Formats: sequence, structure tokens, C-alpha cells
Amino acid sequence: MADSTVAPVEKQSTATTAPWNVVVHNDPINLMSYVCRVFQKVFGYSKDRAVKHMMEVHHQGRSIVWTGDRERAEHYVQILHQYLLLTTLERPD
Amino acid sequence: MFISPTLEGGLRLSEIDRGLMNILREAPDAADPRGDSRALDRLYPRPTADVEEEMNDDWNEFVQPDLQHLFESANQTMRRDLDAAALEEDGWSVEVSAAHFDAWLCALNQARLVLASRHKVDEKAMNEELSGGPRDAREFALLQIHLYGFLQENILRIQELDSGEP
Repeated sequence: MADSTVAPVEKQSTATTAPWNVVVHNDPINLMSYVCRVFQKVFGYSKDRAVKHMMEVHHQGRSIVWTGDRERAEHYVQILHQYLLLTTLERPD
Repeated sequence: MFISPTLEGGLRLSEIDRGLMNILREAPDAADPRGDSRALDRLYPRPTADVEEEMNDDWNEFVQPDLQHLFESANQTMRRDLDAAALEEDGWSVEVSAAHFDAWLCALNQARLVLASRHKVDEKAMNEELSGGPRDAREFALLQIHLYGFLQENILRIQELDSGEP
């Protein structure tokens, strides 16, 4: 009988499996209506939810608009940069 | 200037006087950051505030060229539409097809952001009243920022109407 070897289970880094935040930051130039529209278009949010995030950006300076796996988070950051929104990817706390 | 929707779902700007037409024609050039580091930083911001230099380096190498291509393409679309402006009896007219809306939104936003970066326009400046004609380059930039924003609002309104949203 041939020896069987068990491949070691790789530990996935928590940096990639833990949820990452997509954060939009305030910019006084971007129109509020434009920011809302982008949130609806990119994330499929309802108008109410888009307005909620937009108002958070406006009043608090930032809003976590999406949370999830790093790969998708990076993808969303790239798309929001295409719409010229100031957006960053943040590590989970 | 009058702004009205077209039957095909686009936008028509009409009765534009020469001065306003010149300001519109400046939008594509205004969107060009031309090596201005503040403007470039705004158009191509870092994707992470953390000290993740590897990600930022990868972003610069792989994502930024795509963004640049997108921005330049949008700018060219707007420039072509402006070049096709027609001089009519009551002023200039420009037609923006629905298919070009996203390009115009992008190009107008670029222009606004680059102008704001160059002239260090902050929230306080955005809320200043512009009375009379612009007295200097900064006031002229503010005029452009507000005018281009006004056009963006009108495009967004038509897009919203077309999507059937209340």
C-alpha cells in the first residue's frame, strides 16, 4: 500500500477573509445628486439608502458604503474611482 | 441658455450666447490635469489610507492607466459633441445623446475637480455668491465649476426620469 500524504491545510490570512470596508470620503465638489446616482447604479441601492450614505458622507465626512471580501471591495473601489468619488479600502477593525 | 429633453431621450442646449458657448468649449481642456500634482492626486487618489504601499503601487501600475483611458475617452466624446455645436438664429445649440450622458457626466466632473484642485476651491468657496462678472481666474474657475455642475444636474434629472424613478 502506498504511503498517503496529507497536504497541510493552508491557513487563510485574516487580511483577505475578514470583511473589508469600502469607504467614500467627502469632497465639496461632487454633487449630492451625482453621488446618490452613483451609489444606486454601482450597488443597486434604493434611492433612500443611497441618500442615507450620501448624507453620511456630507455630514460626517465619510461613509462605509459596502463591506465584504477584499477582492470585491477592491473592485468596487476601482469602479467608484471611475466615477471620481474619493474612495478607499479599509482593513477591518 | 435653454435646456430641454429630446424625443430620443437626449438633451438639447439651445440659445447659448457666444460667451457661454466659449465657457462650454473650455470644459474638455479644463478637465486636463496637465501635470498639476494636486489635480492628478484628485483624479487618481490612493485606494488605501493605510500604509499598504504594495497595493498603492499595484494600483498605479494596473488601475491608473485604465482610469486615464476612461477619462480621456469621456473627454473626447464631450469635445466632439461641442465641436458639432450649431449656430442658429437665436444662438448656439448643442445636442447630447442619451448614449453620451455618462461620458458628459464624467468629463464635466473631471473639469470641476481639476479646476477646484488648481484653484484650491473648498466648501466655503463653493458656497460663495458670484455677483457680477468674474474678476479673476479663480472666480472664473468657480463660474465654470457651477455651470458644469448645472449641466450635470440636468443630465442626472433626465436619467432619473428615464429610469422611471419618482
